[in-house]
Amino acid sequence: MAKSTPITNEIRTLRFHAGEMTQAELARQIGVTRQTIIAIEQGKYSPSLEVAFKIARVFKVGLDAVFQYPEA
Amino acid sequence: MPGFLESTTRAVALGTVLALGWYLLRVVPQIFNQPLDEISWKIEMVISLVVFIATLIADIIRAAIANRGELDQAGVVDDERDHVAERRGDAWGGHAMHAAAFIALMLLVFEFDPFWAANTLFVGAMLAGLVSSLVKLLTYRGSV
Repeated sequence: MAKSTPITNEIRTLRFHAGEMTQAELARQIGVTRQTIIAIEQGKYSPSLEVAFKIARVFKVGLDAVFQYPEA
Repeated sequence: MPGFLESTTRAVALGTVLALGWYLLRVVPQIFNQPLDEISWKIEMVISLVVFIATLIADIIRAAIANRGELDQAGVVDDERDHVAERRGDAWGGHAMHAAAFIALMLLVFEFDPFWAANTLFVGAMLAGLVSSLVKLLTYRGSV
């Protein structure tokens, strides 16, 4: 079974509020594949800081509005 | 649908299993039934490599056709998740290859028949490729 990262994210919600932005469109703006966006959304892959900042910049929000690291 | 590099990694794993499986089925039974110098293995090794390369090329072409959209997309070539998978896979594959090379070296140092050194290197290289591919696929699935 796939192991999930403890980091959670709000990318699905942010895409919805950005006019149902597609995963492919987000991937294009960041410069990764759609599969990578899917993996990040599902918590199967933790992106680099650079990609995390790029995602936040696309949605014009802070990093902590996109990614959360809950207390254990 | 998996991306281009994930598809080609699956192709490498499948090609390795097919080629190595065929080779072992042809050669291993001979080891128990005839002297080493009568075992037919060189041509089998070459055929196995040709089968592996042919399977790989066919699957790369198939993956390229299936992922045309992704490959056309500018700037996607440097996908960071691909790099992470490559790095982990190559590290594990490298360890396996080093182990095989060391065993083959010892076999030569202690003057075992060249059959054993050649086959240790061949099987070791194929297994190293398989380990590398499996680690990459596990990374893509988020299991590593």
